[in-house]
Amino acid sequence: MKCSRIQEWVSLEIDQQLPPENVRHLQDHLQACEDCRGFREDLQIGLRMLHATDPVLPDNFDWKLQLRLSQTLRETARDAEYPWHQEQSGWRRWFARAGFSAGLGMAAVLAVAVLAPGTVVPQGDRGGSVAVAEEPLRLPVQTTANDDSFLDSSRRPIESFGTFGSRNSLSRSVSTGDGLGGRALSGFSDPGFQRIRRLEQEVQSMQRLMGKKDTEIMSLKARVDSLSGRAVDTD
Amino acid sequence: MNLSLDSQYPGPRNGAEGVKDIRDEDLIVLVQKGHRRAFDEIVARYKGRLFSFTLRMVKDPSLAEEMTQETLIRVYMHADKYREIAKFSTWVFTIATNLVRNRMRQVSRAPRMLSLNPVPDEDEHPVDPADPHADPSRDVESEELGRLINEATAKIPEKYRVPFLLREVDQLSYEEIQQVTGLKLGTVRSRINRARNRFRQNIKPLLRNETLLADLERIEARAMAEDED
Repeated sequence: MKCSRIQEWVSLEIDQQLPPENVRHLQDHLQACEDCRGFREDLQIGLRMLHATDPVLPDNFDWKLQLRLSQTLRETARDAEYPWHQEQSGWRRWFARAGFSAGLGMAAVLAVAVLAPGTVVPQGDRGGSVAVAEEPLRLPVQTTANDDSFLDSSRRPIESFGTFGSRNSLSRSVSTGDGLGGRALSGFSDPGFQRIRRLEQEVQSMQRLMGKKDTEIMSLKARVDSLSGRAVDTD
Repeated sequence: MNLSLDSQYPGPRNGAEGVKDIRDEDLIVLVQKGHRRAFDEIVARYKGRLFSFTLRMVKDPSLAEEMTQETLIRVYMHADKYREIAKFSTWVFTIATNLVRNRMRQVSRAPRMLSLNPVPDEDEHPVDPADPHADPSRDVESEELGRLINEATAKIPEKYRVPFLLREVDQLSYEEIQQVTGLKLGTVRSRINRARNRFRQNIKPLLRNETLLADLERIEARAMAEDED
């Protein structure tokens, strides 16, 4: 019998997995073969060394585990009660990160642009100058182009947005920078705009307050956990 | 389960003595019911074996400690997912093995930093990953032997080392190792055999070292005396 097979049997014998009918063959071979006998002795001493040198954990392991587990429990409780803390996807994540204030800011800009009288309006016909709209801006659906062109963006030239003016005229007016002033900026002092600013500030202060309350709740929960014995305790 | 757990379990504040005789599979049921002491007992039973396994896989003591913690936290957080279709130890070591494998995969994928200055400064001490300073072995002789054994173990290829350590360090049966690793029983058997062959090759120089052999005798005698106490 080959020594490689016998050494496989030695491994099985160590684990008490060798069938009884093979034990006798193994013993006979080991008596006759010095190499295989050496193999078994080396392995036995090596495994004794492995078991004798089992590493020991640091004394503060339980304490560190308790700390980490308490932290994990707090985070889990927070995620359960405040689902918006959890990872979101797509536009929800963007809004969660940018904050509600960014959304409000965008809404404010849109509101000023659409609703405020006397908004800055670049007009292509006037060769780069900035003019004041004589009437409120119209939404794209109100353009002179037919409704189908609005639905199909590929067939919708930017000029068709009526009083918004052409892309070229807009870029020209911005690059030249002329004509800004007076009535053109009156939309920013509009009461509607001021109200939006106030609301935005209120939202920010409420968010700060919620953050503080959140922290307080978490610390109270951790205290309740430790008092009711739900957290891991090493005492 | 017919076991009357509440009558056997003394409650979370009555000390850990009452849970000592409860088997693992019943302890985890108690953990599912919110008994903290049952989890403490699981920690006491498994932390050493888990640390030993992870340290010999990843070599870095602080990383091994972190992974031991992570395994036990997962046991606690996902206790409700355990069903007694497998032994509890199999479930625990499956978690640990997956964590270790993921970690080793991350490490192998991470780009290696090459020093532009290969000659170390005089006051610069190169860090040996197998250095046992943070490895809390009990004394100098045990530390030295432990370091050499760790090195010999680390040289075994990972695919052989996992079943080998599950068998030798964690004392799982072949069937349990099969469940943990997802390998066939014959593959488990042959991989353990191959790992032992490699291990024997790696430790051969140590076996001729009389000092190390004497250290082994002393360590074993001390351990035996501690057990008797």
